Amino acid sequence: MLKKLKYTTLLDYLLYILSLAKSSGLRYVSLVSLVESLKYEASFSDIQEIGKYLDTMGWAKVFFSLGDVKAQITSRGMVYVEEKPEEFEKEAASYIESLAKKTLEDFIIHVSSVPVDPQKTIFKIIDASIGKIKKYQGEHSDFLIDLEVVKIELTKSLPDFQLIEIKLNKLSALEYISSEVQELKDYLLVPAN
Amino acid sequence: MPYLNVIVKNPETGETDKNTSQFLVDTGASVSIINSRYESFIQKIKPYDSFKIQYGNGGLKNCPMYHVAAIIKGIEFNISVAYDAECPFLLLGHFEFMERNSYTIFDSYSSRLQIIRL
Repeated sequence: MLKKLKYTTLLDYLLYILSLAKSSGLRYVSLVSLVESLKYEASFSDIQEIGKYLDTMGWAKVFFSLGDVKAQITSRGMVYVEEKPEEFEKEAASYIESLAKKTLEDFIIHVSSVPVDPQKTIFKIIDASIGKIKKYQGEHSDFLIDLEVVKIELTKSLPDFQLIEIKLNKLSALEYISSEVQELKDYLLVPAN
Repeated sequence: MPYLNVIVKNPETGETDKNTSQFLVDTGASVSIINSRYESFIQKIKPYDSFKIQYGNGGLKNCPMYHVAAIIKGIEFNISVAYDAECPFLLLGHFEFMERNSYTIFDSYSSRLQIIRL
């Protein structure tokens, strides 16, 4: 059985994969897909943190989109990977290949072709919250209408994120759905790029 | 208010914090401030001085000062920070920051921000 990756090792492996992706002509790669493929347990906000860290260190250019974090290695990041000890690449490649049961090349193609669909997760969280509100406040709570508004906004091609933020802030008052609301905020209130 | 993502580094050991923090850029502040988020990190560095900080509410505090490095978009800056465990925010004092470093341009977290040495 493969050992669970340490956080710092995960960062190194991500940079290694990003460097290979760049060499294969791929530009921005989804960190959400990469982290999931490396079977590292991380919430969406954890992945956003990883993105911010790589960006602040100057190792990757990162942009945040709805439900995804895309990264492209920078030349500083390439140098960081190249300066790792010789055995690093071997270890990283062997870990990834045994985990994915694919060659590194196939792994990168796979990761870059898997579409990230955050809407399914977002609607699942909203539905779970609706269930809890119904349980604690009944069928006629205003909070249910607020969540319905969020849902309707998200079906639009150009959702009003200010309105969504107002509704989510209002819903934060309900302690029993606070973790769901925070998760929705992480997904929906995308940091500026 | 503009924020910048910053990674703090111990200039003596080269150790970098493994988390990114958002620092509020305050063009009027004469010093940078870190809070209890960096408690364990700062314990490994010797203070070189102390600094009296007066906040808006009038309270006066004597805070130890440390030399650290701030990494922003891969660029490393030597800055001195005051440590106030109870400060509710992390602050990058523009004035102090500019005195020690040459100019550069960053994208801040919430809006575009230019920091230029005059």
